[in-house]
Amino acid sequence: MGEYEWAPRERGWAELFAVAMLGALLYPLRQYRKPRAQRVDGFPLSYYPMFSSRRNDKKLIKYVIAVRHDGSRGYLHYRHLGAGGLNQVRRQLGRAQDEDRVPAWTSALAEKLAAKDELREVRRIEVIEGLFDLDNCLLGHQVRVDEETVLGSADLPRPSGAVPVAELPPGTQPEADPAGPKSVPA
Amino acid sequence: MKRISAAPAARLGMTRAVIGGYTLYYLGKRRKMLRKLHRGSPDMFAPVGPVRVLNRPLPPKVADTLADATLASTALFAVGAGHPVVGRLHSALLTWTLSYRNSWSMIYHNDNTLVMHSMVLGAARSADGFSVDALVSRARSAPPPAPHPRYAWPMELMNAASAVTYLLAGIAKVKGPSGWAWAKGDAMRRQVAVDSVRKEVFGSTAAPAGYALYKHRHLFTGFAVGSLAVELGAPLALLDRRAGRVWAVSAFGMHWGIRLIMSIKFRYQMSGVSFVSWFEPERLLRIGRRG
Repeated sequence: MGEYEWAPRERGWAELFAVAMLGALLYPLRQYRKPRAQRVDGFPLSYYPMFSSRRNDKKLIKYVIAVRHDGSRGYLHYRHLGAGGLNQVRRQLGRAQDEDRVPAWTSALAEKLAAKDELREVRRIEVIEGLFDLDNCLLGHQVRVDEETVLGSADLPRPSGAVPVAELPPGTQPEADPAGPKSVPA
Repeated sequence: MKRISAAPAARLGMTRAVIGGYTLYYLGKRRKMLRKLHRGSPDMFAPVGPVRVLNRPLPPKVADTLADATLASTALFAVGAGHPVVGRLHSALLTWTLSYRNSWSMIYHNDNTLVMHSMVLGAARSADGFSVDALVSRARSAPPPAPHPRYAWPMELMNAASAVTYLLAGIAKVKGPSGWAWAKGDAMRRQVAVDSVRKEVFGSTAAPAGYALYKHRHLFTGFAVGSLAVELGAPLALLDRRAGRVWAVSAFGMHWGIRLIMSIKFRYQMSGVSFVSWFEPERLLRIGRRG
């Protein structure tokens, strides 16, 4: 870059800026010096911890089930759970469980959902932690839960006189979003 | 090791215009979502980056105003108006708005590179060649700027920032519980499975290719090795211009592969805009003039 004319301090500023930016980008590597539980992710500087997660054959996943008037069950679409996308609401649900706030989270969600006309068939929501055998799901082309634990549930506040919820036998597999098309592959 | 040589001002200008235009589209499409997010439960607020100066969320109207100011600065940045001030203001506002967006318990890492690229373009003289500022300057009979390294180093720095980001992603994989065995592909295969099941139980649709390919374990070994090669090999792309372009096309392909198998959209990367600094986008201007 030597034979060109530069404004005063322009070249030094460019070099300093470049060193500072690359140094900042590499700075999150220091997280690897800490025990895994103490590592902290950030933005826009990250050490990309999602690529370091342990992956087992079985996976516990939290989600929300909608129970209709007739007792049938369906996965509630993530757009009904909050703003920001699937992963955002998934993390928020996980955080509510970590902080023992699932009952309050579920009640607040039920209140919000009660105002949605497209969910008028829904009587109750349940926050579930399901255990999935990943091979069975992917090789069988169908998502089936092996074990379900109800972490919280709440009735949607409706006017009095609404139809009571019918109960289906335990283990009945949920369908897709009750307000949308089926998403479980055939 | 290649030296940083001179580049035409229009190259950096076109890069700014393309990235600014993308950012305007990206933020504009998310304006409603951001407003909804700003009204989220304070319990879910987990500040990251510069937003860590806050203990609790901003009043929604203040957050809305900052997001709208970011949109306005993005438009000015894209056309290159008032760049000496707007460039820096835009990169500061964009960093804030995207950090605030990521401060609600989930970090979307695909915005990292966009923030870094915008910082470089905001700090550099990226509006000397192709911009409203340049048009005003020419109207006052100022000569067009000659090629200079001041228009090349920002492109090189953007490339280096991209390379470091991919390198860190590669390091994360081999530093995880699998170590170098990550290259066998089992961890990636499991990740595809977890992601598919999550999508289904949240009412979304998993990628059909994920289901179709899952039984072919050896394919995932190939994908994993390819992914590690792109990520850990990213710094090598900085050594030679042609190698850089081959790397950029490979990384672009990798993101489309992820889209196909996992339905995960790295929008900035999949659009190709993330890789524009590896090429000579000012050629588009020449094609436009000829047309």
